Amino acid sequence: MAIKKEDYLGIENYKVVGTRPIRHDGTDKVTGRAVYGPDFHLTGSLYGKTLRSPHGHARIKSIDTSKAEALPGVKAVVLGKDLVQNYEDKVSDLGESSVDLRFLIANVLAGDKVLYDGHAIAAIAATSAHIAEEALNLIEVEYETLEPVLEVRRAMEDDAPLLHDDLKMRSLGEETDQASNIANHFQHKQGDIEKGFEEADIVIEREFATGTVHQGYIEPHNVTAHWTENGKLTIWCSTQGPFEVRGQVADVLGLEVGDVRVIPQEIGGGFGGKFRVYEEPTAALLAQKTGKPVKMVMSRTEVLKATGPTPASYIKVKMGATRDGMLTAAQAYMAYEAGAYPGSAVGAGAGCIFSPYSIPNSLIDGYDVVVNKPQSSAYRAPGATNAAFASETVIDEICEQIGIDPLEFRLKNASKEGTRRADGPVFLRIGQEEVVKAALAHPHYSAPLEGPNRGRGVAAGFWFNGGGTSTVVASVNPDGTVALVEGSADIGGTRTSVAMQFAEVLNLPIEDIKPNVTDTDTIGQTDGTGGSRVTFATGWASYEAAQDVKRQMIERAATLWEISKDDIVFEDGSFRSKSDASKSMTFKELAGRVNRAGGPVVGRAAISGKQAGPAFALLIVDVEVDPDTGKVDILRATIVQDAGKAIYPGYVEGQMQGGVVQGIGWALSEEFVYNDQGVMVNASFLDYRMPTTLDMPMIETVIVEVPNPGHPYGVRGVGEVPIVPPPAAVANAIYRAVGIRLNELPMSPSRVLQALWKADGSHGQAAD
Amino acid sequence: MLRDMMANFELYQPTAIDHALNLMNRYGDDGWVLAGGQDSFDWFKDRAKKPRAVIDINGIDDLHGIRETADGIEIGALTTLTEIETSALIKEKYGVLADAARHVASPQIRNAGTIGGNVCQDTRCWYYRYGLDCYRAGGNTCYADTPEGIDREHCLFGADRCIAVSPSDTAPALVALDARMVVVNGDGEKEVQAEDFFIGPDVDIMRMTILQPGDLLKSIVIPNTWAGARFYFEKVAERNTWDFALVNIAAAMKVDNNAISDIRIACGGVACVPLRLTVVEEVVKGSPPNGASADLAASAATRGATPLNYNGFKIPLMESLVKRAIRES
Repeated sequence: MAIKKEDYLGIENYKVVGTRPIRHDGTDKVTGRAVYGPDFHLTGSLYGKTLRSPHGHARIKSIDTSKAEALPGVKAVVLGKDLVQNYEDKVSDLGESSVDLRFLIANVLAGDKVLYDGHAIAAIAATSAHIAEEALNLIEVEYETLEPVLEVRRAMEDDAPLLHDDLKMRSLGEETDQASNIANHFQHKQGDIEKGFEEADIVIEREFATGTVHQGYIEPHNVTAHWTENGKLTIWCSTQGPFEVRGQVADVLGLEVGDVRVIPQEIGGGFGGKFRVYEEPTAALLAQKTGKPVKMVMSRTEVLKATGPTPASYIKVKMGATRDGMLTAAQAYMAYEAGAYPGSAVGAGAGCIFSPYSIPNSLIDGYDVVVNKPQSSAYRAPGATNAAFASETVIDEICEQIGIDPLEFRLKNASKEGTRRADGPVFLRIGQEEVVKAALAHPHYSAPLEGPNRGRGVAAGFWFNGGGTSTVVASVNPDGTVALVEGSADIGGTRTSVAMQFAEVLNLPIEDIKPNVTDTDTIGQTDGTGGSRVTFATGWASYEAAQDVKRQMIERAATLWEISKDDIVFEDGSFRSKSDASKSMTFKELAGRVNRAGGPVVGRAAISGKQAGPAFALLIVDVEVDPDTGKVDILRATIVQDAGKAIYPGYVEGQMQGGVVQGIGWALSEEFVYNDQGVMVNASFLDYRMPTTLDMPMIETVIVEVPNPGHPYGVRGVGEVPIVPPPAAVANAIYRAVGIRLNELPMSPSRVLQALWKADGSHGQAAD
Repeated sequence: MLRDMMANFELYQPTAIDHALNLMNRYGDDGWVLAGGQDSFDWFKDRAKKPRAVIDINGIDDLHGIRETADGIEIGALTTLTEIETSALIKEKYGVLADAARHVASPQIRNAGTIGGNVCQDTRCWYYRYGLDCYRAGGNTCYADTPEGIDREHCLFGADRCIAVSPSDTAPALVALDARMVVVNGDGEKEVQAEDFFIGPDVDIMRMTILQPGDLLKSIVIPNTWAGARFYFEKVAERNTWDFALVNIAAAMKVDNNAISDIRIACGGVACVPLRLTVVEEVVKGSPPNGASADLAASAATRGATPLNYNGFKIPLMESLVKRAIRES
C-alpha cells in the first residue's frame, strides 16, 4: 500500500524542538564526573546492612540481636517494630502505582512474617560495611517455615496456603469476607461478548504464561540519611520520584512531609523500579538512633531478590474475527502475581491488552494475586508486555487462518479517534493507523527473508502515558542565560528535552538554558519520572514558565522604554516597540538590564491534571532459529512508534531501542528461577540473563509524529510503549521460522528445543 | 548469597613456586590459591567460602606464558585466556583451544581469567553456589535432584548423589588435544592426562579435579600429536557472551582418504567432567566424516544419558553438536 509522508509526519517548523544538541549532562556522565547516589559521602557516615530472610515463607518466632550489638563497631540495630505502628489506614503514593501503608511498612522491615526470599528483617549500622556484614551473621532468628506459594494459578486454588490472614478478596468493586490470596478481581465489559463470538467465523483461544523479570537497572538502590539538630531528615538517594520517596518515608516513620527533604542524585536507571522505598526509611531510623549519617547500598543480589520485579502472569485470551478480517469479540482472563503484597500491574495490563484495536464486544477479567515473591513494582509499560504477548500472538494466529497480512489486519481493525477502549475511555486523536501504515511502508517489511529457519513477526503495543503534576522555575541571569529548576529526575535526557521546550518559546540557544534537577524543598510538587510523562508534563510546565518569562521581560522593557507593554512584541529573539523602530533589544541585552528595571525576572509554572496522549508502537522482527540448538537469533528489528512530536529525536530513538532490547531480553532469556522452598537461585547478572550488545542487532527506529492535540508541541510520551510488542513479535517470528507456537516466556533454547522436539515426534523421550 | 563484602583473610603474594607450595602446605584446607580471581572473588563475596589465607600466585613469573617445546607446547597456568585466544602459535597448530578460549565469558573476564583457573573453576550448580549444605559442600543432600529442583542446567551422565556439570569451555578442548596437566607439590612434579585430571562425584564429591590441598597446577602440556589436525568447537549458551555453556563440544580429527583415521572428542555441560566420547570415537573411526557417520555418532553419544526433570533438551542439543563436530571438523 502506498502512503504519503504527510499522512503520518507532524509539522516541523521549530528552531530548537526537533534538533539534536549536545545534552547538558552528557560529558559529565561519560567522563565519570556525574555524582550518583553511591558516590555521595558525608563525613562521619556509618554503613548500614540489611538482614534478609533466607526463606520464601516463614513465621518469625524470635529475633535475638544481642550478639550483633556487642560486636565492636556496631552502632545500632533496627527491627520492624521500630517503624511506626499506630498509623492510619491509608494508601501511599508510588508514582505509577500505590500501596496500603501497612503493606509498605511490612515490606520495609518484616513484622512477624517473612513473605519472600530476601524480605528485610533487621538492619545494622556500623563503622564499616564489613563490620555491618559480619554483625548480620550474629543476629539469631528463629523461623517456623511455611509452604511457599510461587505461582499465580496455585495461589488462587482454594487449598493454597494464605500469605495474609487478614487479606479479604475484593470482587467486582465489593469488599467480601473471603480470606484469599486473590486481592482483587475486576471486570471490564463492552457490548455483548456472546453475540460477538457468534458473529465470528473464526475463534481462537490460547493460554499463556510469563515469568518474573526484573527492570535490571545498573545502579543498585542506595541511600544516605542524615538528621539535623532541629529534627529535619535529609535523604540523598537514587529515585525516579523524590516527592514519592518523601511521602513514603514520612508515612513509614510517622513524620510530616515538611520534615523530610529528599535530594535525588543522578540515577543509573529505574524503569519503574525506583519509586518504592526499601532502605530509605531503614537508613533514616539507623541515623536517628546513632545521631550520625547512615549510608546503605544494596548488592546486586539484594536488588534482584528484594526489589522490582515485574509480575509473572497467567493469561487466557479468546478472540473472534470474521472471514474478511474484522474483529468481533475479544475476551481475556488475566491473573498477575502481585508478589508478597497486593498491587500488581494487572489493571494496567487489562487497559492495554486490546487497546490497539476497535473491538465492539469485549470482556476482561483481571485478578491481582499475592505470591511468595518480592512485591512487584512498575516496569516500563507495567502489565502491558505480558498482555500483548497473549493478545498479539492470538491475532497472528487469526491472521494466518484467515490468510490476511498481519499488518493489513491491524490496519483494518486499528483504534482511532472515537474508539472506546475495552476498559471504558474513548480515544481522542491517536496514531495507531499511522503507525501501522508506516510499518507497511518500511522497506524492512517488504525485504526478502532468505535462508531456512528464518521468520518475520510483527506485534503492536499500546500504552496510556501519564500526565501528572510538574513545577518549573526559570531565573533569567544578567548574561542572558536562564537557570531552569525542575523536580523531574533525569533518566532519559529530560533535562535537555525540557530545556528545549523552554528555549523554543524564547528563541534562545539551548546552551544558554542551564537545567538543574533539584530537591523536594527547592521546587514545588513534581510527580516522579514515570508513565512516560516528563517530556510531556515537565516540558509543558517549562513552556508555560517561558511564557511567564516572556510576559515579565516585556513588562521590564516597557518600564525601561517608558511605553505601554501592549506596544511591545517579541520576535526573532528580540523585544521591540511596534511604534518606534529604534526601541529594540535582544533577549540578552534586556536580561542585563532587568534587575534595575523592576527586578529580576523569575518565571514559574505549575501544571497538573493534563490529559496525556496515548502511544502506539509496532515491532517488525526477523529471527533465525537454529533447530539443532533451539537458539533464536534476532537478525533485524524495526520499531515504529508514534511520539506525537519528537522534541529530541535522538532520545526518542534511544527510548525506542532501549525498550525493544529489554523486551527481547524478556522474550528470550530473562526470568527469575525459584526452587521449591521459594529461594531465588539465579540472583546475579550472570545467572539472570539480560541480553548483551552481542545478542542484539542494531534496532532500527521509525518515529511517527501524530501530534497530541493536548500539548503545546504535540508531545506524547515515548519511554514505555516500545517494550510492549517484542515478546509477541519474536514469538510470531519463531512460528514463521520453524512452525512452533510458544506460549511461555522466556523462549530460551531449552524451551524452543523441547517444543521442536515434541513437534517433530521422532523423539519419544522429551522430558517436560 | 546476599553479600558484597568479603570476609577478612590473610593475603600472601609469593614470587616463587617453592614459596607458594610452603604456604599451601602450611594452610592446607584453610588456604586458597588465587590466580585470575574470576571464580574466587564470587565465592568470597558470596561468603560461601571463607579461607583463612589467600595465596596470590600472580607474582610467580614461572607460571606465565606459552613456550614451544621439542614435542609440543607448554602453557603456564597463569596464561590468560586472552593470551591463548590471540596466540599465533596456538591458533596455527591447536586452533580448537584458541576457539574454546575465545568463547569463555566476556573480553574483560578473559583478560583477567587464566587457563589454570578456567580448568580448576568450581561448578555453577546454583544450589551449591547459593551456599547450601549439599553433598558437594560437605552435607548429605542434593537440592537440585528433587522433584521440584530446577535441574535444567544439570547433568545427563555420571550422576552420583551430585548432578552438577563441568562449566569449563577450555577443558573439553584440552581433552580433545590429549593435553597433560603438570601438577607440583612438596614432593615434586607429576604429569596427569587431562582426561584423568577431572573427576566426578563418584571419585570425590567435594572436588572437581584431582588437586588436593598442597597441589598446584603449574602448566598444561599439549603434545604435537594433534598439531594442525581438523578441529571443531561449539558452545551453546543462552547469551552470546558472558554465559556458561548449556552444552559445548570440542573435537580433533585426522582424515586420510576421506576416512576418519583418528579422532578425540569431548563434551562439556553434560557431566561433572569434560566427557570424552570414546564410543563416538570408535563408531566413526574408519568412516567418512559425512552425515551418515554423524548420525551414527550422535545416537552413540547420548546412549546411556539419563535426563532429569528439566534438562531433557540437552539430549537433542548434545546430539546436534556431535553431528556438527563430525560433519564440520
